[in-house]
Amino acid sequence: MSDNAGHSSNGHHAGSVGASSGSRKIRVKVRRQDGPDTLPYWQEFELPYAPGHNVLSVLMEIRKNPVDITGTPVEPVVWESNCLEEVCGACSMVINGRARQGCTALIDKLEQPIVLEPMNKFPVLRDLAVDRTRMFDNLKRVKAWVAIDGSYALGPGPKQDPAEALERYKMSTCMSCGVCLQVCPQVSVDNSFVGAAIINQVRLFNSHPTGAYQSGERLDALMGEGGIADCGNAQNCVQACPKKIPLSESIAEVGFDVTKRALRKFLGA
Amino acid sequence: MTEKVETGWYFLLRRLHSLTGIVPIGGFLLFHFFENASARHGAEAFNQTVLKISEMPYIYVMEVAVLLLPILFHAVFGLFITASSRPNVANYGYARNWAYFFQRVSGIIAFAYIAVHVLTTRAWALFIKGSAITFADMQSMLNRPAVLSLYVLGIIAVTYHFSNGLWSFSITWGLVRTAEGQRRLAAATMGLFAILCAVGLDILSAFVLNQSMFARLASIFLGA
Repeated sequence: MSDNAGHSSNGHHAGSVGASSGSRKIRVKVRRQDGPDTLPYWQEFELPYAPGHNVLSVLMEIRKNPVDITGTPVEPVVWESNCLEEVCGACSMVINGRARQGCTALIDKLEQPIVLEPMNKFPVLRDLAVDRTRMFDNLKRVKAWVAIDGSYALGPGPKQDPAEALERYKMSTCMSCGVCLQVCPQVSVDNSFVGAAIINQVRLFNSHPTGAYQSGERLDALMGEGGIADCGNAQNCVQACPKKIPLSESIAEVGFDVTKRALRKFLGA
Repeated sequence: MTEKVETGWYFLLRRLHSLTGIVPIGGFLLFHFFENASARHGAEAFNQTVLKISEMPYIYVMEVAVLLLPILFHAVFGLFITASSRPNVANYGYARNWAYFFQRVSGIIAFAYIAVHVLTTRAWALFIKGSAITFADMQSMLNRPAVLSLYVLGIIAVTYHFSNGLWSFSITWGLVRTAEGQRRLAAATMGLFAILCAVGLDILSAFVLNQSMFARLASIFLGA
């Protein structure tokens, strides 16, 4: 935690570097897959140590000269990334067994060899790039937006309690990165559970004064197949969320709302 | 991910599964411990209790409608839920993830234990023996180390499954919503597990040692 701009010669960085040649190395093991339907295989890479690297900058270094640890030229590793500052969610991958963003995974804080795998709760497109369409489809399914379209000007929205808006801000920082789905023991690549991110978005838009107009439709969507009932309360989502969104609170809040709605629908209560 | 879903059938079954775990099954567990605790006062007290309960009005209807069917539903649907689970405690060793994992393991153990327990006690007494089960019947059964081990394991599994299930239930139904509240409830339900487990094993000791282990411990340490 101390530094990420130290000298490469002092040898006091975290992580065991098993280089035999005396100079420090960064060693990376990547689970590769050439296409959605091909078998995965492992490949190792080694590059000279430099301070301040993160997983993405290491992948970029490998891309400059894509040869594996035996010196054989290979195809450069494919991954997805945009913002490089943990707000877009595109570079989510499994690093040393844990799902997180590659851009904020600092090499100096990782045990080596660094093992990179794609998130296996999503279909793999190639190497570390996965298809998160599942999440975007489910955001549409629960209408994760404020409906303001109309044929005339609707005027300004209602005033909002700043304290509540602040709470919603936290929920709104979700970047659909998929980490909460990857760590969830109730999600698998072939089932339909929407996962914590979607349930949190339902809470976000249902608590918005204008978004609340569609709250019934959102709750109904979550009472369907793959909805909130599939949550098993393992609560890995809230532990792993890179944005520290109170996901377990969102699940309980929405759990209460669907309970109320179900009672009203089925018992007329 | 299909757009058109049958409105909430699965949701209703899941909620029914959650509810039956507490009422009537959890409720019965507490009652069952309460009635069986009479074994602490010896064979006569236990036999009387069993007799009294077997003479309760509507006993067969109650046993089928309030116990057999809800337990069967909870167990079979629970196995179906468990089959869809992909445990990952090796990678994510958070306390609640372990609790989630043990909830499923204890559920499977509890199902097997309850099946054996009911078949060799109530069902056996009703259909084979022809009269109510006695303290002596229980003792001769628990004399076998394999049976005793199963009972110890079964009691641990059942009391954990109920206690941790109470935690999960409270969040699923939205009764406890803040992270802080959920943390406190987790501590409370683990405390409940410790207490219920101790009570269950104490009742067991009343058969095996002919004396409640708590009573014996009290007599050793407090002097008698």
